[in-house]
Amino acid sequence: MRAYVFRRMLLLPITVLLLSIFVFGLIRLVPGSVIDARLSAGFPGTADADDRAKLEAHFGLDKPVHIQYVNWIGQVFSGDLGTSWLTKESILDNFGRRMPVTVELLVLTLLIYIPLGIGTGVWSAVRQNRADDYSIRFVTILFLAIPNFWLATLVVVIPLVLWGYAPPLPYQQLWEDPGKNLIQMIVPAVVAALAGAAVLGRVARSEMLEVLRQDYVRTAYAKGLAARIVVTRHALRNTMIPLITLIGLVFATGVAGSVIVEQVFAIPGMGRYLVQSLLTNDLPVVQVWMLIFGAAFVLVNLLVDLSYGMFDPRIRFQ
Amino acid sequence: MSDIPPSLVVAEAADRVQFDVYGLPVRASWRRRGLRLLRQHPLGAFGLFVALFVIFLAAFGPLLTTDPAAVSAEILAGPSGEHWFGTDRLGRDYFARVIAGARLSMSLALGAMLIGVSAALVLGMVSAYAKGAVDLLLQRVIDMMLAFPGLVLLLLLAQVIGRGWQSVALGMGIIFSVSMVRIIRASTLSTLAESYVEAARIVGASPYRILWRHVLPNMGPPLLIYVTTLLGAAILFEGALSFLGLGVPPPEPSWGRMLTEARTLWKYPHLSIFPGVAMTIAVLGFNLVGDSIRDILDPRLRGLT
Repeated sequence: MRAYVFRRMLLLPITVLLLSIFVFGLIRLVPGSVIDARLSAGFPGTADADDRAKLEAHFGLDKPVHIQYVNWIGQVFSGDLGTSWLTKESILDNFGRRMPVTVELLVLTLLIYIPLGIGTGVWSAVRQNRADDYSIRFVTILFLAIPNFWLATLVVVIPLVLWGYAPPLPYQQLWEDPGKNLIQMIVPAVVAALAGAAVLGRVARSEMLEVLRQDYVRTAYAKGLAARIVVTRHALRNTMIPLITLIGLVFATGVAGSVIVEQVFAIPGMGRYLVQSLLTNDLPVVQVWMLIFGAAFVLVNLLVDLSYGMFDPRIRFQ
Repeated sequence: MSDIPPSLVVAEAADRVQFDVYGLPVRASWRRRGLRLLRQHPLGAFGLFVALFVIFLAAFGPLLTTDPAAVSAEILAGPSGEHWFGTDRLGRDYFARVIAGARLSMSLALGAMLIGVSAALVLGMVSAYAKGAVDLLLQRVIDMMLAFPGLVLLLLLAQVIGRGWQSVALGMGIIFSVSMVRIIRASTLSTLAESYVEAARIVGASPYRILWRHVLPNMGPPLLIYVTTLLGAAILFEGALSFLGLGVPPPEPSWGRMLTEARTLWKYPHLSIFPGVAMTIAVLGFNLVGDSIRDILDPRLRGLT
């Protein structure tokens, strides 16, 4: 196990490096350049080749692509994420301000998402083919189909129309006013969590149904254990491995969900910034943001793989 | 019923099975087997009905409604006999626009599916057959693309490829093929190990013929499960993309963009209700069909879900 952990840790930087090449390459393919936007912003038609060359030199775009890549990656690893083409703001500063917001949203989302998904799934499996199973399944199927951006809009609009209530704005940082911040964050987190919880709940249910048919579960019942103990101690533990595989997916849907809800609820997080930067072709920002999202996802998947040992001793001693 | 001996019940069921001259059971006709499947999966049958209805509306709906782009002085009117879903801020008939949105959604979903499935088939089968460096390289590229949440990668791809509906379909097709290549590759590998493939190779079949005649027909079931589920996902993806302002540009009516526009006009709830309900119903239909197909094709899950 230790050798395995070591090997995976060693692969991590290589994966991230490959990821950076992929992101960099993809970004170079985006048509339309910031230079054109800059030149046409002043006095259209007055720009000449000289201005163009100056701007290209300014942004470092006059060098060959591979040199550009090496310069960029060198900067990133020395802690300088570059500056935005549009606002000329340091991306690192911006990142420091926005990252806690998105991390808070993600943590809240996962805190709702995972217990809700596994809880409803297990409940549904234990009460298979009873009224509560049917109602849980119906609600689950429905929430899989409701687009989260529509749900987010409704959650904002309905209280506004009925009671004239709107959540307090502007956004309050957690450390400045925790109460107000939680009021602002809890609804977006629930909206971002619901669709994912539905996916998780369905898998949890079918895994649980399979485990509940195993001989050792019958044995546990036969020796007189309470149903609660059988389900939580004996059955749930064995459904954990397939469910943990899903955590990577959970994280991905969480990130995608946060991009959407940050937009609807005007939360100044990373997802909102990514969308804005994409819309304005602010490529250095998009580049760094994609790299961070990708690296975070790779890291989560690594942690998922390593956590198998926690739930299955057979894997731990291999 | 309860006091009839079980043997008799079996005999009764056997009554309906027909036997040929050799005493072997005759396979029921396609129609009868289809009807039986529908009876066994009422939810799937309902989903199929909804999905076909949505496809029908997408294909023929715009012919039956008024022009979705025609403006009128009657702006932001609520639902009425004349305008079933009311009108939007330019006085355009909202019912016609929701129906036209179905056309955009479905053509994108089907286009993305076509691109995704064919790309995944080619890449997956070639990757598995070629092995070695080609396989390694392809799989690492796929890994890279899987490292991003689908929506985030789609946002970037939309920026790279452009905003027309063909471009959006291509972007979604790429995302879908990425998620399918692995499954295709895995089923190709297991099929290539079959003895009939070995036999084909011994009699001198070309790699092309082996993949086309012996491997491809086995890809149906795993693909079918994915395809219906992804059709629902495609509708949601298109909506999210348009909602964020990175989808197909106006004047093409899109459910996602209608919902964005409705946010600033929150005093007129009919604007946000109808496109949202339409999307939910369409996605629900495809998801229900996908679920039933999985139940039918994946015997491991039979009786569990």
